[in-house]
Amino acid sequence: MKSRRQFLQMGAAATAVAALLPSRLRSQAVAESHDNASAGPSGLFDLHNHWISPGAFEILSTKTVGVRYVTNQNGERNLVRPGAPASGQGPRPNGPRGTQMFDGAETRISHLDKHGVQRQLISWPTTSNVDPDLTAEEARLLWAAYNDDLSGLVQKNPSRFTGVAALSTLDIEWSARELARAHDRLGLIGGVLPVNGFATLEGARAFAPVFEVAQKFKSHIYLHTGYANARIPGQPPRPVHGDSKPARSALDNLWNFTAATITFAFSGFLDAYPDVTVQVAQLGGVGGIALVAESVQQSAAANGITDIRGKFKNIYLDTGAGGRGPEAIALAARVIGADRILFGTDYGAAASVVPVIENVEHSPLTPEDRKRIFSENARTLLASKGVAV
Amino acid sequence: MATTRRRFIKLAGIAAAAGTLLPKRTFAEPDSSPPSGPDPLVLVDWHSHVITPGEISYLSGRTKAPRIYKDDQGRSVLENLTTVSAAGGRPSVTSASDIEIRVKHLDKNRVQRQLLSYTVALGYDATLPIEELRPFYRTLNDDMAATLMKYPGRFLGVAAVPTTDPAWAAEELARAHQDLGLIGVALPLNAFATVESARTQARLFETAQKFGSHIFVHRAPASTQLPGQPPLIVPTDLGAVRWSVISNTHLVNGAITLGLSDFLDPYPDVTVQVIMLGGFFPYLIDSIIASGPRLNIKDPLARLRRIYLEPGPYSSSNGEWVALAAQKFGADRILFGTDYGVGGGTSQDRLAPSVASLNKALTPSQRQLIYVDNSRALLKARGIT
Repeated sequence: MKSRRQFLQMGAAATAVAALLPSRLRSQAVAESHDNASAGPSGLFDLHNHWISPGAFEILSTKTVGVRYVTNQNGERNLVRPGAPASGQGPRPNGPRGTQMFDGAETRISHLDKHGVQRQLISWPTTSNVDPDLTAEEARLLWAAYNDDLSGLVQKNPSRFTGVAALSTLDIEWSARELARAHDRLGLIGGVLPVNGFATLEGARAFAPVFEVAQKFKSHIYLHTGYANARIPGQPPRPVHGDSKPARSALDNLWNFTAATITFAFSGFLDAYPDVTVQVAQLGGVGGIALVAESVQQSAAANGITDIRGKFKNIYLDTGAGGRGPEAIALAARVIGADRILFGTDYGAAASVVPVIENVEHSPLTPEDRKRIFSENARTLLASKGVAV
Repeated sequence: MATTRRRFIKLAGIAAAAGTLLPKRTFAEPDSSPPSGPDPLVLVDWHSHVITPGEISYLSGRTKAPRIYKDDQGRSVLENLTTVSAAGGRPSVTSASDIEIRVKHLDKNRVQRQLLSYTVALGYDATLPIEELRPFYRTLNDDMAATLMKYPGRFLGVAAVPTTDPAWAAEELARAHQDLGLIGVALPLNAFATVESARTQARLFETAQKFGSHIFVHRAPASTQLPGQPPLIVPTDLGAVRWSVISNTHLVNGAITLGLSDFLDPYPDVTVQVIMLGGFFPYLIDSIIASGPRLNIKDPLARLRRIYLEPGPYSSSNGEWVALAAQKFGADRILFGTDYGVGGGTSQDRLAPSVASLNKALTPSQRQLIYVDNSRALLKARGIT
């Protein structure tokens, strides 16, 4: 009980800190620079990137049990989860991987300006699998604080940032209300949810209350790496690999995104929510979904599905993280259509937007399709959500 | 029985020699029309299945699935069980394969031979007890040998062996080489789901190394007694599509075990063929190669290229994927295959649509390798020259 009280107490303090955040960010935003130091493309819309807000970090740092942040003596931030190795996040000059998960507006905008990125759609990194380990009470506190922070960041930098709200996968009714708050009061355009919650139609249906609100607000729902709370049925098993783990993990990732994209494209789940747009990260597990889509097309006579692309009418796939290679992008464009692909960099988890820019540039696409992916698709999508672009 | 072996090799040699006399075919333009003329376009279709009379007879004697019984229309139907690899589904009409029509299809499409295997995907290894599998598989292998004898120069064969009893499997492999004129074994993919699982087959691979066997790895469940098997995930919606994802995922895991791990190191003379391009493998190959340093593997691609990929049904349905595999993995490690003969009876001609699709998707040099050169090299390594 002591730790729980401490958590809530500190959470409240962190929320207070978050309330002060806009003024700090405002000063950073003054430094907004539109200098384009990059010789590459400009006016890019990056719809896959992440940020861990100060308020969310503070709340997770106050926890003494379960999933939490622990800062070591070198000032490095580690996400700790019982039964799993610590995951380092944040800049690490001597570490295995540098990230920009905790950057502020100034650092981020400077980087975006340098590489021609006009706007980002920011989300919580569900990859960290924080949500499935939280109690409902913890989740409500954490995500409300994060969404407040994100709103502050967006509102102070309206020409550069848009956001989707973090939601609980345990308290779905609260998530529905929080999504409404995100639209009504926070200026966000939708929510982010972990992709594994949608591995089956049964799992997707558990989120119906959220999608009902999403339909009302014409939300943009972003599906990103990670597990939902264990109460969501039909999720992929958590694999334990005894050999070749890095290689087999890439396959796990493909499976997870393919399974969810199948749910959205072919199960009819989205039929009740025609005004909701869905964005699936990692090109929707494009290797998997492309093979599936082509096979479905081949069997059109048997299954009656003659318009594969029509099945992706409200579904977007983004180029962030796995599946971002040039061939993967071209494959997605060929099978699903270039108008369904969004540029996303995984910035935050990745320290730079440059690798994915280069992949899109090197992808065998027509200039028109490349322009669609870099900016035009996102511009149309965001405009439909009321974002001034 | 040694006579059979000698005769096989002699006949194979004659056929291969004929192959060397073939004029070099040029592929100036994509050509989707059915081939015609006397010269082989394709040396070997490395992926086909037969249902033998002995198989029908044996399964008809069983009273529970997997079994064959007469339905209310008097047709023989196969009732199967759900495994980690496939849904049992509704009983399907089945009968012994019509080899005569198969030979006509080969002739029509200028395909010199087919590699015959039992229908591994039916999952017998996971659903029949080992006491039944030994005599059952022996029957299938004898039947296959009889087909090879009856149609010299038109077929190659791989034996059925159980994953539950690698010692007996090794003996049967030796018999397959020495007495039956077969060139190796067909194994269910999930025996290679993990390195731990693969190592249970070491005894079989030692014998395979001795004979320079060809291992045909087909998607299917292995014995449930093997360690490191994938979990049973039965889709609750969109079954056909989700089973496809399961299957293609299992295939990648098998390709990783066989290609990336050190399992095959002690067996350099064994050739391994993974069907259906290893599932999602062509798409994931860059990620798998990128994992090499973390696995202390210097040249992951070179290691992976120890195996052969073969498209099977993707030849006709997903030619672009074969092209991707050729680009990423190398056309010199891809074998022509069609998945001909599923279900037995009088099969559809899967050869023509496969050739048509690949003619569109592949470059002339890739086709030369996949249709002809790779098979020639592989057969030569088997002593079939």
